[in-house]
Amino acid sequence: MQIDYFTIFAQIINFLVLVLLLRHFLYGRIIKTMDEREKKIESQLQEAAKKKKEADEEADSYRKMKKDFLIERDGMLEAAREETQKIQTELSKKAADEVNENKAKWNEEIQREKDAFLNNMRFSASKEIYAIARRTLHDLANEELEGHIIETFVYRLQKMDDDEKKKMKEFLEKKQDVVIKSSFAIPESMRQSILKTLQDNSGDGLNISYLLSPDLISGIELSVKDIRISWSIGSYLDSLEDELSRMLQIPSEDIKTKGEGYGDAKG
Amino acid sequence: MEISPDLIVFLKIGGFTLSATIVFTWIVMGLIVITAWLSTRRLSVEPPLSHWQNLLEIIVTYIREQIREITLQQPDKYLPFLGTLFLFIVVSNLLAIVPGYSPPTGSLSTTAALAICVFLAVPVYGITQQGFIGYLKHYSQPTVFMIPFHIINELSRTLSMAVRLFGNIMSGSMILAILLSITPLFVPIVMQVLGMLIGLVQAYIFAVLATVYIASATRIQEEKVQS
Repeated sequence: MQIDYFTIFAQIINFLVLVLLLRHFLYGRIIKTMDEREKKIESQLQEAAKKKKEADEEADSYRKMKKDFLIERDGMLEAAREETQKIQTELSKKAADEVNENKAKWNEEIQREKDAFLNNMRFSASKEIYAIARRTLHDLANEELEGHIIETFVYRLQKMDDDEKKKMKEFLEKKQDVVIKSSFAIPESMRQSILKTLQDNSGDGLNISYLLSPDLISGIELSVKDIRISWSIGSYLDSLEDELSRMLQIPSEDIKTKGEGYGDAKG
Repeated sequence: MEISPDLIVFLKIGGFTLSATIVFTWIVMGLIVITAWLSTRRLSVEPPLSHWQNLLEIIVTYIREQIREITLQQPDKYLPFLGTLFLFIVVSNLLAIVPGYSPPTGSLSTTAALAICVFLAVPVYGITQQGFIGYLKHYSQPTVFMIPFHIINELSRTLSMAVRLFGNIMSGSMILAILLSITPLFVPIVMQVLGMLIGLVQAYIFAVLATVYIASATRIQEEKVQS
């Protein structure tokens, strides 16, 4: 083991030269490259962090927009719900009104049909009662009854008021024909009684003609110009008909109009 | 069988002797510098990286981390010196596998030169960090009576570094030579591998010790500044 001082010195120089060479060719370049890479990565990380921040902000913005949208949607849904409720209420009310209106119409229709039915029933009943009474009286008419009728007729001729008597007299004095209608044949005795009564009122020379008119139910009628003196059961029946109509709240005109087909006798 | 490559003389001019130590040192230097130059000609900042760039980056990063862990300081100002120390010793030792090659670190002159470099680097870094007076003050810590011991400490550790490296590498070469003469087959191969491992470990020890010495000279200043 020996030490060569020249070699030591040379090795020191060699080592220092190597240090300088490697500092230039190795460490400097490698460290510079790694530093650049580190800076680049750092900048990329910063860029990534910046983009992440921007993305977070954007995400927050979208979250806020979503929240606002949800709130707006809820509001719109609520408004739509209220509107629907309102429309539903209106439609329900309208439907109820229509139902009530239709119900009222139906009730009115039913009432009208009921009234018409009752009216028809009343009309038919009154006409039936009238027809029965008329037929009954017609069937019951006989000579005794006819005698009473003529007497009543004569009595009415005698009991005319002054105005009627005056008109009658004026007519009879002109020697006009006097027509006496009756539903039955007037016996001669009765004709004389009638003639006498008329002559008492207006003197002699009367020309009286007698006509049979079955329409006058058990009745007799004298007509001179615009004067008409009569008595018949038909007039009572007419009164009965009027009274029935009044009682059944049916105007007599309606009954008369509708009852033309049943036959009539007016005095 | 020569114990030291110093004894192999290629050229002698006057008092200057060009021994195998210096020649192999130049070879090692040339190999390292050419490799570094070729590898760092076209460095790429972004991947993909070349294999050599990748290897060199790993080595440099590893050395920097080691320096950082030991000194607890920024490693870049120590990297050229300590890194070159490690790389030179490693390459010198690992090339021992090449037939005909004699590692320069098997020469006491080389290890002494490296130890002297460390011996000089410690005060240079210390003075750079804390100034001339500030650096000298630590020799009188804790008392002025410690100055001789500090000086002895500096010299002895330099000597120990030189002898440790020389002894390990030289002994490895010697053992290999002896085994080759006794059992020329197989056993020398195992010893060769072991020698490479020892060379690697010794390079690491030398570099770490140098780092520790420099760190101890510079961290005193930092502790004072902090206090």
